[in-house]
Amino acid sequence: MMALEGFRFRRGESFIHRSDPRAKFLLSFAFMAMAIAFVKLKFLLLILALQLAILANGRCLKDWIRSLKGLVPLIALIFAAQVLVSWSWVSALTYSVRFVAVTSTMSWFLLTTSPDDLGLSLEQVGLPSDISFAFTMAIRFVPVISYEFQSVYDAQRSRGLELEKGSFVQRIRKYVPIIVPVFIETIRRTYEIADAMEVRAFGAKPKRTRLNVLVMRPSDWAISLVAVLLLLGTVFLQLSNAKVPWINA
Amino acid sequence: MVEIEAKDAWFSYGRGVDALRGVSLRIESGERVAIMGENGAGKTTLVKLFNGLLKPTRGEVLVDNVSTRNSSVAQISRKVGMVFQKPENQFFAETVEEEIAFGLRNFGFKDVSKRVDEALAFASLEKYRGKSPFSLSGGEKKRLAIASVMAWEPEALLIDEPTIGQDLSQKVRLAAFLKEISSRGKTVVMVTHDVDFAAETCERAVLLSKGVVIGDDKIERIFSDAELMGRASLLQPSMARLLELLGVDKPAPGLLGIGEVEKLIAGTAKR
Ligand SMILES: Nc1ncnc2c1ncn2[C@@H]1O[C@H](COP(=O)(O)OP(=O)(O)OP(=O)(O)O)[C@@H](O)[C@H]1O
Ligand SMILES: [Mg+2]
Repeated sequence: MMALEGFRFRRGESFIHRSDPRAKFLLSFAFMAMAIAFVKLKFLLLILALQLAILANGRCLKDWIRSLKGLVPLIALIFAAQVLVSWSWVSALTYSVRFVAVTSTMSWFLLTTSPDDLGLSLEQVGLPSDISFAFTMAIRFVPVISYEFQSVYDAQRSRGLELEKGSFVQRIRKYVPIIVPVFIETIRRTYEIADAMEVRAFGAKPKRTRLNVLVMRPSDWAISLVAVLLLLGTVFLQLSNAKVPWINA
Repeated sequence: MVEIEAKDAWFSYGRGVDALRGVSLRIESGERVAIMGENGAGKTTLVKLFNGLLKPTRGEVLVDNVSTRNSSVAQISRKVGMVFQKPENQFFAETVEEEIAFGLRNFGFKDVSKRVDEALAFASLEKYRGKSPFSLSGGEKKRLAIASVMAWEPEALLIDEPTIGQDLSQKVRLAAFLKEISSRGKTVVMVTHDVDFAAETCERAVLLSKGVVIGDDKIERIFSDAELMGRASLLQPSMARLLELLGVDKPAPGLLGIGEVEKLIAGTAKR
């Protein structure tokens, strides 16, 4: 559950918090594309460093680190698999760093973008409000479900459940007493929320009015421009097979 | 027999949220204690420290003189059972019977079916043994949650808000239930806002406010201090207020039950 800490919104007033979700999304997407396209340790470290700078600006490095700690088993798995496949430490390290770089693109975006703004920007991009609403809800409920998971885990631990003990298969089976209550509660809540929304006239009018409207500021346009250039560069390098030092040579 | 002790225990949920700020208290074996205080006072946090679900960020919590830091939740829960506020949070089994057996199996008991029978009888849930836990009423769910912990007979029982959403007859039943547990020599620690219920079932009250203990004494002494109660967002029990209104002498220790109050008023009326 710790792994989720770096993927949920934290309120803040930093530059990156105040930037437009659309611009941030473009930048995050550009970073992801580059990290996937160019498998070069130096370059990946550079991308990672840039994202760490963004995280530092948003004052959410701590949450990112917590997430990273939660992801250690997965990173170790990637590392081990790569060592087995290629017999190369450098390659193993590269792939591990790539994994961290790619997950970080989502991390800083979600850490600094409120689900409401995200939904709003989806709507303003032209998505039907039902769909953007469902999307926003899904993201907003990640922490709720993670909290729920913790309470159920606590209740079962108090009845002697020990996840750390037993063989692999036994351990998997031990998740049943945790998953079932979380699942049931989630389904039950879904119905309740649907009712609660309906009694407040959700969907009564096809076109809803908005409380806030997102406006792109000059800095947002600048971020978007950088992101688009990075994306175009990535596509160009991929198609042309050109070799550039630091990036893919 | 089990002794629970908090020694200058602090707990923080991170980001400067200090839920407990230096709590020291000792609960002797067999006591019935009500932990009370306003919303967010830190009551749930405190009982979670008692069975090791949370470890103090500073200070210590000792169960039988062993720091909870050095034991697993399962080890502590074997002695100090905990019933959560929302029973739905723990139900997963197909039947009531299975739900009760869960803890027993985890702790490796050999006489599971015998203990399940006893727990069912104890909670008067025999006729539901084959039913789904989710099909029970709110009160029955609460009793099942308690029974599923009592089945392994922990030395102490921690209950978070036992009376929320319970009707009168369920409350009466629950009170009898808790007294029965106590009469077996078990410690009962409950978190509650229900002063009348606490007066009925507990002998000691601990008042928490903003993570600090502001009162810890015999319950009738705490409950006769309106000012102290007010600081924990609590109103004195109706009996105490009634006696005050009627101008009857300050209730002597142990004078909070309806029966005693009735006698007292009758006695005053005759005079
Ligand atoms: N999981 C958590 N993460 C962060 N803060 C928490 C968490 N749980 C509780 N808190 C905070 O810790 C403080 C104490 O909470 P706690 O649940 O112990 O209060 P309580 O006395 O049980 O309140 P209530 O009567 O409402 O149940 C509160 O300020 C609460 O907001
Ligand atoms: Mg509570």
